[in-house]
Amino acid sequence: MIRQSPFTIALIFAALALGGLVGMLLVEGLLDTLFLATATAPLAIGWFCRTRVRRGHGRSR
Amino acid sequence: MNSLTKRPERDVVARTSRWFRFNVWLHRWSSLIATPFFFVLCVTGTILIFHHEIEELLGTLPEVTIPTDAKPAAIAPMVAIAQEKYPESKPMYVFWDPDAPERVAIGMGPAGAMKFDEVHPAFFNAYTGEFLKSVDFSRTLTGFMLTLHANWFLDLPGQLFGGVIALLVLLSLLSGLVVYAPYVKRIVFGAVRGRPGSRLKQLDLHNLIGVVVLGWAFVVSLTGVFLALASIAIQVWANTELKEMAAKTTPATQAAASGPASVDTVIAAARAALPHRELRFMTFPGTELSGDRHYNALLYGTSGYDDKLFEIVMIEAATGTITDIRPAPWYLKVIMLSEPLHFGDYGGLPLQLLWFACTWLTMFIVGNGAWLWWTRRRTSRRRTGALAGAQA
Repeated sequence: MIRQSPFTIALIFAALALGGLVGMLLVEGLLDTLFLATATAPLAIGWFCRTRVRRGHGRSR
Repeated sequence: MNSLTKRPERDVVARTSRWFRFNVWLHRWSSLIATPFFFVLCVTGTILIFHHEIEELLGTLPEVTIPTDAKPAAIAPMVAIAQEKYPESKPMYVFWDPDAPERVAIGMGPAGAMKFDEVHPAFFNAYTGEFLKSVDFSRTLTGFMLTLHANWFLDLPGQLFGGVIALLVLLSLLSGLVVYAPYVKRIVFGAVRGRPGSRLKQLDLHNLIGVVVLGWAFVVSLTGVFLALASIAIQVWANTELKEMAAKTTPATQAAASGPASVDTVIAAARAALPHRELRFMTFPGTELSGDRHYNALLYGTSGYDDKLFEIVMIEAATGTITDIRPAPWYLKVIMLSEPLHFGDYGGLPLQLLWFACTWLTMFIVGNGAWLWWTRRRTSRRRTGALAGAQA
C-alpha cells in the first residue's frame, strides 16, 4: 500500500528520473549503474503500483 | 464519499480556481498544437537513438582493419589525397571520432564555402592513411532523419521552429503537473479505473504514464530548446570571442612567417598546448569558425562530463604558433551538455532502451490526450444539442 501523498510520489518520480539522467552524465564508472537504476525507477515503480492496484492492494486508502 | 475520494471541499476549490483553469487551458492547447510535430520528432528521435547501430547495419561507415604495429599516420598526406580526389573542394575540418579511433574524417566542402552545411567527410584509416570512402550523410537514412528532426529541412528557421515545439511540450508538462495535483489527490496512486476503452480508463492511463515519464520528458524537451539555439550560439561565439582571439595575431608574427605551417605541425602544437585533453576536431583556415588565418583545435576532456566539453586552441596558420587558448563559453557548455541528455547516447544500450521506452510512452500519452480532448468535445456538443432540443 502506498501511504505517501500521491502528488509527492509524482514529484519524487520526476526527481528520480532527472537526478539519474543528469548524474549519469556527470560521473562514470560504477555509479553509472546506480544512476541508470535511479532514472529507470519511475517506470518500474509505476508498473508496480499499477499491478498492486489491479490486484486490489491499493484500494484501502 | 467512496473509498477513493479524499478532501472533496479542498479539491473543488482547487479545481475551480483561475490558476487551475488557466493551466487546463494551457495544457490542452500547448499539447494539441504540438501533437502532429511532436509525433514526427518522436518517430525520427526513436530512429536516431540507434543511429550507430543502423549505420553499422547498413554499412554507411567504412570498416577498418587495424595493423598490428598500429601508430597514428600523418594527417597531411590524407588531406592531399582528399584534395586530389575532390579537386573542386577544400578541406574544412579533421575529425577524430572517440568511439572509432581507427578512422579519421577529413571534411571536404565547396571551394568558396565558409559554412559547414555542404561538407561531406572523406574517411581514412587512422593508422595506414589509406583512403576508405566518402559519405554524403544527406543521402543516408540516419542523415535524412537527423535533418528532419533537427531543422525540418529549413535550416535556421526550421531549428527555431523545433525549439518552439519543444517549448510547447515543456509548457504542456508544467501545466499538466498543476492539473494533475488535485486529480491525483482524489485517487489511489497507480489506480486505473473504468472498463477497457472507456474515457475514465484512458484518463487514468494518461495521468499515470504522464507522471512516470515526466522527469525524462522534462530533460528531453528542455535540452531540445537549448539545442534549437545551437546555431545562433555558435554564430554569437564566432562573432565575439573567436574574433577577439584572432585579433591577438600581430602583423609582426605574420611577416616573420616563412610559409604556411604543415597541418601536422599545427596538430602537434595543439596537443602540446593541452596535453591532458584529447584532440577531436580541428577546423582549417577559411571557415566560419577559423577566419582566414587560423586553425581552431577543439580538445575535449577524457572523463566524466568533461568528456563532452572542449577547450579551444587557436593556432596561426602561417607559423604554427599558438595564438590563444580558452575554455568554451558558458552558453556553449550548456548546449554541449544538452546533446547527450537529449539523444541518450551516453550510457550504452540500457540507456538507449530507456530512451526508446520513454519516447513511445510519451507518444502514447500525447495520442490519448488528443483522443480525450476529442471525445469530451463530442460529448459536450451532444449535450448542448440535446439541451437546445429540449428547450425548443
